[in-house]
Amino acid sequence: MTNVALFPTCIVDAVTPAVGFATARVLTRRGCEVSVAERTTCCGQPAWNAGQAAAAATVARTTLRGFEEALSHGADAIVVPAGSCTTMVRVFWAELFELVGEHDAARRARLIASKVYELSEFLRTCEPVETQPPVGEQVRYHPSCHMLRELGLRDEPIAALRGCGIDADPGPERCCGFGGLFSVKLPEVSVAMADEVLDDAVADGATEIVTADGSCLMQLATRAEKRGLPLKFRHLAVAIDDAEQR
Amino acid sequence: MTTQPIAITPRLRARTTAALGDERLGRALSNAADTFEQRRAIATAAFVDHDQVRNHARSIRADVLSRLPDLLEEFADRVIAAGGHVCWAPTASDATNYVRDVARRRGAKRVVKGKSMLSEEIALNPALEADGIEVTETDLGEWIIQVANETPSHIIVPAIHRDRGQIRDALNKVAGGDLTDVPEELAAFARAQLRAKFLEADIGITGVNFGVASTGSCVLVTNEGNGRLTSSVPPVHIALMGMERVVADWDQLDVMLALLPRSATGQAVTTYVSAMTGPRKDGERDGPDEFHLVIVDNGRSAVAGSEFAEMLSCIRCGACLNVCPVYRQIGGHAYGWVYSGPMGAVLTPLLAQREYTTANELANASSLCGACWEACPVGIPLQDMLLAQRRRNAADVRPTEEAAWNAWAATWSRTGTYWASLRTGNAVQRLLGDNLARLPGVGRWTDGRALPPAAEVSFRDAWRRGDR
Amino acid sequence: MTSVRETGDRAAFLSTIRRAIAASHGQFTRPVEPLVSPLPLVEYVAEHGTLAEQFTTALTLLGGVVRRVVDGTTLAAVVDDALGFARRDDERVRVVLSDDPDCDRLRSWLAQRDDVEVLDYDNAATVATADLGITGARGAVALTGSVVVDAAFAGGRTVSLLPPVHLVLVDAASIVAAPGDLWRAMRAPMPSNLVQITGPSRSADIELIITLGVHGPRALWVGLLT
Repeated sequence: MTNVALFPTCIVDAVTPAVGFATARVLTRRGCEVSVAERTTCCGQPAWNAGQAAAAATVARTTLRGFEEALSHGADAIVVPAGSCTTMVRVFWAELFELVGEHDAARRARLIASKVYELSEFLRTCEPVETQPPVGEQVRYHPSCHMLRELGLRDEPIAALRGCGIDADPGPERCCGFGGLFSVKLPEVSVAMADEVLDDAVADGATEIVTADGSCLMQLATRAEKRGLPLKFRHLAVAIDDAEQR
Repeated sequence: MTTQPIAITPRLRARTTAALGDERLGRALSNAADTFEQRRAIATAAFVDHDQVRNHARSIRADVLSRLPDLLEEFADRVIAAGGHVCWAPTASDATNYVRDVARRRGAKRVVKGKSMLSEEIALNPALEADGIEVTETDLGEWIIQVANETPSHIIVPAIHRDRGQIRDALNKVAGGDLTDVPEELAAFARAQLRAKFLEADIGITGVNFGVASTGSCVLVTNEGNGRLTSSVPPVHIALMGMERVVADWDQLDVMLALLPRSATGQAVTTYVSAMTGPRKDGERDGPDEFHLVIVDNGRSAVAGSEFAEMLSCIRCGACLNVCPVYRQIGGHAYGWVYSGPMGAVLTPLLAQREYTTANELANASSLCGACWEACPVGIPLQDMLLAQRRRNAADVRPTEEAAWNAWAATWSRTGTYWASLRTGNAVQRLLGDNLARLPGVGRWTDGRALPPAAEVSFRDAWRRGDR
Repeated sequence: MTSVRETGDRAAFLSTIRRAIAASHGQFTRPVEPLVSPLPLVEYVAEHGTLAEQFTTALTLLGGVVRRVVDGTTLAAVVDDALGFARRDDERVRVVLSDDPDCDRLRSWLAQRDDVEVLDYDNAATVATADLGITGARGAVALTGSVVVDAAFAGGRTVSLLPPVHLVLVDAASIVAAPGDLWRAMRAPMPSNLVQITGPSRSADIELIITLGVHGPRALWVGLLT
C-alpha cells in the first residue's frame, strides 16, 4: 500500500477543486492511501517567474516544510497534478534557495525532490488498473512546456489516457502563451499564442483538449470561451477519472 | 492603496501589437520558422549522438571564454605574422574610427559589405556615410533592406518580412520601375547590380563567424558567395570580429561548423566555408593586398564578468528565433535593436544600454517555455537568463509592485491566511491576492479571455469536510 | 609585443577581460561538462557506398554535376559539355584556368580550339569576364559533396568564384569521409585563402525560395579523376 500525499496546487485550491478530487480518486483506485499535504500552500512559482526571488522563497519555504511533514508522517510520495509546479519544486527550488542564501533549505529541497511526482509520471509507477477498451473518445493532448522541457515527460500523459481507453493525440509542442504574468504584460501576444494552439486543434478536427497543467488549461479554455470555439477542456486527472467511473 | 500599472512595457507592447496586426508578416514568420525548424530536426538527425555534439560545443565555448585573453593574443600574433593588421577596439567608436582611418588612408570612396550584425551593432554604415563613402550591403536580404531603408527582421533571412512583390517594389527604386516579381529575375538583377559594386569597391568589410587561434584564420560561412567576393575582390579586406568569436583550433572549429549550418537553416554545410589567413601572398593574382582584423569588445567584457557570461557562447545561428513562440508572433523589429528572439532579449539589455535605455523590458517578451534552450546548439540556458534579468529588473521595479508581491508572500506562506484567501473574491483575487489583483494591468486578462470561475468551496475546505 | 601592423592597446584590452573573468561567478546555472581533449571526431550516421559514390550523391542532390574522368577522352568530354553549358552567346566561350596542376593538361588543348578564348589569369577584373572558370581541388568531402580550393595552389581565389560556371577537377583519391577529416588536418602555415565549396551559390532571401548564382557561380561541375 503506497501512502501518497497530494499537493493540490494553488490553481486547484482556488479555481478547479474538481481536479484535486479526481486526482485523489484516480490514485485511490490504484491502491494508494491518499492524504493531502496539509501544511502546504503554493510552490512560489508566480513570484519566481516575476523575478521576485525573496517573495518566492518565503512561500516555497512553507511548502517545503509541509512536504517534509507529510513525508515524515508516512507518505511515500508527493503527487502533484501539474507539470509546472512539479518543475518548480524539483528543478528550481534548490536554485531559488541558493540565490536567497538559504543553503540548508536548498539541501532539504534536493533531498525531497526524488519523492515529488507529477501525476502521470506517478501513474506509470503504479500497477495499472485493468486497461479499458477504447471508450470511443478522442482528445487532443496539449503538452505543457515544463512537462516537456524541464521534466522530460512526453509519453506519460498519453500513456495514462490510452490506458483508460481515451485515444490521445499529441498536439505540436508549442507554448499556450500563459507564462504567468506574461499573460497580462503582453496580453495580445499571449492571446495570439493561445489562438495558434486552438486553431491548430480545431483544424485537426479536435473537439476536446486535455492537458496536465491547470495554468495551460485556464489560458486555453478561457480564450476558447471568449471566441465561442466548439472545444471542451478537461484536466488529465478529470479525463482519467471520468473514464474510470464509466 | 495607490495603484500603479504593473511596471512593463508600453514601448515593447506597442511594437508587439503593431506586429500582430500585420497578418502577412505573421504568415511569413511562421513559415520561415517552421521551415527552418523542420530542417534543423532533419539535419541534426545525421549525428549519431546530437546531444553529445551539443555538449562538446557547450564545453568548447566555455573553455574558450575561460581563456579568452590568451587565445586572442595567439590569434592576433598569427594574423600579424601572416601579414595582416590587427586593431584592438574596446568601444564601438574605436572600431568605426579605425575603419574610417583605413578608408581615409586609402582614399576609399566605395565600400562593399558582407553580412555583419556586429557592424550594425557599432553603427558602422552611418559613420562611413558621414565621411562621404558609399556603402553597399551585398547579402541579398541585407541589400534589399538597405534599399528599403529598414532593419533586419530575422538573423538568417533579414528581408523575410517582405514578399516578392514588396521586394520588387523596393528594388524598383534602383531599377527605375521595370522589374517583375519573379524571384529568379529579382536575383539576377541583384547579381548584376552588386557585381559592379564588388569590382569597383575600394574596401570589402565582412564579419567573422569564427577566428581560429592556432593558425590565425578568419572563417566565414555563406551561401551566396558575397562573403567570398567581399573578402577577395577589393584591394582591402577588413574583418570585424566580436572578441568572443574565437576557437582554439581546428578540432574545435569542426564541432562548431558541424552545428552552425544545421541549426541555422538545416543545411549540412553552407555553400561556402572560407578560411582567410592574412592578405594575398606574393605571386597570387587576386585577393586583398591589405587585411585588417578588428577585434571588438563593446560591452562584451562586462558580460564576461557577469552571471550572463554564457551568453557570449552564442554563435548567431538563429535556432532560438525559429522555435520561439513569441518571436513567431512579433518578428525581429519588435525587439527594437540588432538582435532579436530569445538571444536578442538577453543580449540587448547587456550591450545596448545607450541606444535602447529601456531594453530591460525585453525580459518580458517571453513565456519562459524553454524551447530556446532546447534548440540552442551550444546549450545556453536562455530562459534561465531571461529569468535572471527579471530578477535584476525586480530590484528596480516600482516599490508598489514589490510590496504587492511581499504582501502576497506573507499571506501565502501561512496556511491559515492561505486558506482564507481561497474563499473570497474572484479567481484572480484568490490567486494573486488583493494587492496584485488591484494593479490595473491585470484587468487585461478579460480583454481576450473569459474570467476563470472561482470555486464555490475551495479544495482545502471541501477535503476537510470530507468530500471525496 | 606590438607591431607596426597593430593598433590599439593590446595589454589594456586583454587585462579588461582578465579582470572581468577573475571577478565573475565562474559558475553556470546548469553545469558544463568538462572539455574532452583532443575532441573526438564528430560522428555521423553511416551512409552507403564508396566515398566517391557518396560524394556524387550528395553533390548531385544540391544541383552539382559530377562526371567520372578515367582518361583523356572522358576528360575532354566533360570539358566539352561544360563549355557548351557555359556558352552565353555565339561568340567564343571565354575560359580562365587557375594555376592548379590538374589544369595544366587542358591549357594547350583549349588554346587550340577555335570556339574557346583562354583568358590570362592576371586579375579579378579579367576573370569576371569569363564564362567558365576551371580549377583543381586540394581535397573533397563525401558526406557533404564538397570540394576544397586552395589559393596557394590555384594562384588566387576568383577563378572558382567570379565566372558563372565553375568546373573543378578533383582527384577521387583525395575524397575524405566527413568535414572533420579535412578541418582537423589543417596546419600552419595556412594559405591566404582556402574555401570549401558545396554546390552552386544559393540564396533563400526571397520568400525562402532557392535562387542560384546570386553572387558565386550558378553551376558547379566536377570532373572526378578516377
